[in-house]
Amino acid sequence: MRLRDGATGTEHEAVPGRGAEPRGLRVARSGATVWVHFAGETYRLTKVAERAGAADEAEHDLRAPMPGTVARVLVSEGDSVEKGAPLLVLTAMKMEHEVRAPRAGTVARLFRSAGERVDLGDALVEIG
Amino acid sequence: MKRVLVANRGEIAVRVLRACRTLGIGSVAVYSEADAGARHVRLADEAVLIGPAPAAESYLSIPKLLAAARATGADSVHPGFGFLSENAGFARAVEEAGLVWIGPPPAAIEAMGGKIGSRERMRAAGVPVVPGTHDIHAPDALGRVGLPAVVKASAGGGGKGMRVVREPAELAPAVASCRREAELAFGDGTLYLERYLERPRHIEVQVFGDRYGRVVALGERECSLQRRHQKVIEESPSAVVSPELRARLGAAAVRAAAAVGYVNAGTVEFLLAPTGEFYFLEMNTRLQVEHPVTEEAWGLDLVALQLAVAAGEPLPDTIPLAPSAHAIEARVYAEDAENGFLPQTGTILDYEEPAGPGIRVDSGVEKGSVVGVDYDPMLAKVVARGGSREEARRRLRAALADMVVLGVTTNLSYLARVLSTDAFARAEIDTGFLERTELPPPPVPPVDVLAAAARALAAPETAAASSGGGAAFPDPFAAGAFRVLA
Repeated sequence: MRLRDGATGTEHEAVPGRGAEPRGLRVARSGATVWVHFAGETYRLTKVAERAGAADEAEHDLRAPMPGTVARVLVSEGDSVEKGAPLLVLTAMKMEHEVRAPRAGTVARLFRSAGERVDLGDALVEIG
Repeated sequence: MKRVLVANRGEIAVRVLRACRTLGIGSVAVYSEADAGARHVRLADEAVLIGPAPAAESYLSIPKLLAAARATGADSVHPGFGFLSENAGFARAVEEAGLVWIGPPPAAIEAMGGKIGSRERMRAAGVPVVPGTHDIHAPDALGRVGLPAVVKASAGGGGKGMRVVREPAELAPAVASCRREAELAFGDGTLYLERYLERPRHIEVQVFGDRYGRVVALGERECSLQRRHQKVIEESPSAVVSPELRARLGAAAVRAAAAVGYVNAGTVEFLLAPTGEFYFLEMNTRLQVEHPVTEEAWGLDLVALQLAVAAGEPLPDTIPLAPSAHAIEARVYAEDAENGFLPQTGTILDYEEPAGPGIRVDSGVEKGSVVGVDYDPMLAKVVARGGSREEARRRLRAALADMVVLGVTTNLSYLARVLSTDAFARAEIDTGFLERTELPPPPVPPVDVLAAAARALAAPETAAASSGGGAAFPDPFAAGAFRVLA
C-alpha cells in the first residue's frame, strides 16, 4: 500500500512483511492514519486513497485544515474569487487561520456560517 | 489556609494540586464538560463541574468559580496562569468574597497591566526603559537616544514606516523618507526615535515579595527561543549573564516590583542587548509557564512558596543567592511543526513520559486524553537539569526522543532538532533565532516503520485504537498564514 509521511510529505510504497516488530517500536492507528514511535522519532503515516473519485472531490471542495470555529465568512455564494482570495477565517486554540481560494472561480456553495464549529476535513466552500 | 480552589486546568492545575498535597492542604478542582475525565480532576480532594467546554462559559466565568468555592468551603483561590490569572477584577472579587487570592494585590496587577502606563511608571522608578523621544528634531535627540537608533511611525506597526540609523548623517534622510511612508500608510506623519536593539535576548527575572515589604530576585530565565511571541525553549541561568549582570538585573527587577507594592510570585521581562544593556519590557503578575527552570536551577518550590506567602508567612531566610545547576525546558505542543505549525487535535492513543537523572515532566495529559480545540495546545513541559548547560541540553534532547505521544501530532521532533543545532549548543541565541535558523529536515521513515504502519493498516481496526474514523488529512499547502490572537 502507499503511505504518505506527514512530516516530509513524501509517499512510500510499504509492504506489511512478516516477523516480530523491531525492538522498542510502538504503533497506534486512528482510521487511515498510523503513528509510529521508533528510535527516538515519531512518524505519522496516512494511507493514500486509491485513485478514484476522491481526488476530483478534493478539487472542488475546500475542507477545514484544522478543527475550530468559523470566525468570519468573507464571501457570499455567487461571488467570483481570484486564486488566493481569503474566503473565511477559522479560529482554534487562540490562533486565527485564513482559508484562501485554491484557484480562481465562483463560490458555488458555502457550507458553513459564522459561529459554527467545524471538524478537521469538513467541507467549507465549493468553488465552481 | 485549609482548602485551595485551583481555577485552572491542564498541567498547571496538576502542578498546583500536587503542591497542595505535598503541604497537606485540601484542594478543589474545577472542570468543564470537556475535562470530566482529566488528570487534574482526579488529583483533587473535590472537583466541581463549572460549565460547558468553551472557556468563556467555564474557566473564565467569575460567578461560576466563586460559586464553586462557596459550595466546597474553599478558603483560597490559585489562578494558575492564563485564563483569569492576570484579571484584577477576578482577584478583587475573590478577596471581596472573603477568600485569599494566591497572587499579587489587584492594584499591582492593574499597575502593570497596560504596556505604556507600566513603562512610564518604571521609568519614574529608575528601571531602564528603551531610550526614545518624540522630539525628533532636537539637536541632541540622537545623543540622548544613542546609536544605532530607529525612526518609527508613531501610528505604525508591523515594521512599516521604520528606518534604522547607524551614523548621525543617516538621520535626516531617514526622517524624511519615514515621514513620507508614514503619511501614505497611516495618514499620520508623526515620528518617534528610539534606540535600536540588534539581536536582543529575552531575559526575565523571577521576583518574589512577601506581605512585609521584602522583595527578592531569584535569578534570570532566558526565553529567547520564541515563535510569534510564543516561548518554545527556556533556560536558567542564561549563558550570557555573569554574576555581576545578574545582580544588576535583579536589583532593577526588585525596584520594578517594589514600585507597585508587589507581593507573591512575578516576573519582570527585559530585552538584553549584545552590549550588556538591558531594558524593561513588561511585568507578568503571575506564576510563569516556565517557572520550573528556576525551580530546578535554584532548588526551590515556587508554588509552595506562593501558598506560604499568601498564608501570611514571611519569605524564608533559606532562599539561595545563586543557581546551583542549569535547567532547560521544552514546551510540547499539539501542533504540526512541518506544516505551518497548525494546531492539532485528537485522542492520545499511546503515551509515555521520559524519566532519568535530572528529568522532570509537568503535564496534564495521559493515554486516552482528548486534545480539543477549546484550550491551549500545550500538552507538557519537559525539563532537564544538569551540572552544566551542556549536560542539561543532552539530557533534554534524549528525554524528548524517549517521549511517546501517539494519536496527536506534536512538535517533539522539532524541539529535539532545535536543541541539536550547533548555534544552540554554543548558546548563540536571540529572539530572532527560531525564525532565522534552518533546521535539518525531519527524517524519512525507515523501512521498519513503513512495514509496521502497513501491518497496522492491514489489520481490522480495533475499537481501542480507533478514534474519529478515517478522515484524510487535507492538503497542508492549501493552508494560509496563522496569527496569534492578541
